[in-house]
Amino acid sequence: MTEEIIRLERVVKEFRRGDTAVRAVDGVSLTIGRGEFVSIMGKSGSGKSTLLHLMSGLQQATQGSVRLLGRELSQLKDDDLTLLRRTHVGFIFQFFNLLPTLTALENVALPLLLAKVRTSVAEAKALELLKTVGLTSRAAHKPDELSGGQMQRVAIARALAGDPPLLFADEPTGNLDSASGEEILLLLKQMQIDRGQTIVMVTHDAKAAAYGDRLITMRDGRVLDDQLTGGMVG
Amino acid sequence: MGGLAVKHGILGILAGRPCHGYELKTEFDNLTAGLWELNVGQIYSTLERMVKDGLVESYADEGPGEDRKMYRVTQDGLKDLETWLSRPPLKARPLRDELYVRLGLLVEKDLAATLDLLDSQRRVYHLQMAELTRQKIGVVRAHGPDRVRREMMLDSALFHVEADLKWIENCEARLRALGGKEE
Ligand SMILES: Nc1ncnc2c1ncn2[C@@H]1O[C@H](COP(=O)(O)OP(=O)(O)OP(=O)(O)O)[C@@H](O)[C@H]1O
Ligand SMILES: [Mg+2]
Repeated sequence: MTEEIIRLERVVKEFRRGDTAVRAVDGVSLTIGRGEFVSIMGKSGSGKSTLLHLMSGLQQATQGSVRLLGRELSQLKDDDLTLLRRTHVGFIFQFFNLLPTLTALENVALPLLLAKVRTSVAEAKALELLKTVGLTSRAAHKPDELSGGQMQRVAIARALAGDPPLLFADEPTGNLDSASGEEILLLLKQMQIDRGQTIVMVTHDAKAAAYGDRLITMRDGRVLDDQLTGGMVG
Repeated sequence: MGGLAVKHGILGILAGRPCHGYELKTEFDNLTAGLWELNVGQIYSTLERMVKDGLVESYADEGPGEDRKMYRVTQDGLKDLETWLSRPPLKARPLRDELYVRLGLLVEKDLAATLDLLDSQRRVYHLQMAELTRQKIGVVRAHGPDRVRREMMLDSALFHVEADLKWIENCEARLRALGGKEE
């Protein structure tokens, strides 16, 4: 049995607008173990992104319990939650979320600087990460001087900056052509195989989902199916 | 079907070097990244026919071993191969899937059973895609000289399973809308 890294119990997330409420996540229970690569699929509006936000502590559940690395998120103070996220969680968004005025290197180094790491150390680490994602030659480029695939690779490098054991990715290939998308997926897979990273990835693309070794299908805020698809990883 | 492809695959392999019969099985699997699922029996029966037709000839190997029989391609065989490789493009493959028959028998009789069938089929396809993807990752990470060929073959399989999956999802949506069925 691998170490449990995420545990959700009867989690509900409701969004209220006036007197109507939308149940984006409607009673989800599941656990994810260290080193798993979990793909989440489901139709638009089925609650995938919300589920990811709840797991990573970006949003608070309305009901139920979310445990991340053994900590009950609803019981953490804001500062502690921020610290837990900064040290243990990397998040890759569909739209890259890079800061336009910073270079690739600075974007990757930023989370480290925010965590009070010395500039020289942070930049050395950032450079090493850019090398991992194959972008050493673009270190001094601003986001608008990079292709979509390159921006997403910078975003991955940034998500990895604090060596987080957990990586969340929301449609990381959604905006890329299939060749760049495959590079990103391979990179994620390598993180899992070589670094033992735990990865939770939302995608609407079955070919992308196939990089995971477990597939969760959502419908109307619920888990419709939870299927192990993994075998030996070579 | 496929008999011609097997024959010419063997001719092509033998054009590279003479082989034992059992080597041809490995080489053929290599050629198609294992997608063809050819058995050894088919190799030998095809070889037999090709020897009779004068496309291939057998001779005794020098070294020790159980299977001493070696095969090499003849001039006629080479000519045949060349003609085959330059043939016009193929027609779209026949769409002959057992699933269509099962679905056809169920769809107007039993909506719930049809949805169950589609659902379990969807799981099988996801599993298959994951397996093909693992093979592909292995190929990419191995960086072998055959990487391009193997990736192309595996991609072909992946695209086909993906199409099957999309079709299943489409059917499910259609049937749910029809039956107004929840879950
Ligand atoms: N901040 C919010 N306020 C109100 N409703 C929201 C909010 N966020 C999400 N929702 C609603 O919750 C439901 C689930 O949204 P969510 O973004 O999780 O879906 P999704 O599965 O990620 O969809 P997509 O594939 O389109 O990204 C939707 O009906 C959405 O409108
Ligand atoms: Mg979403």
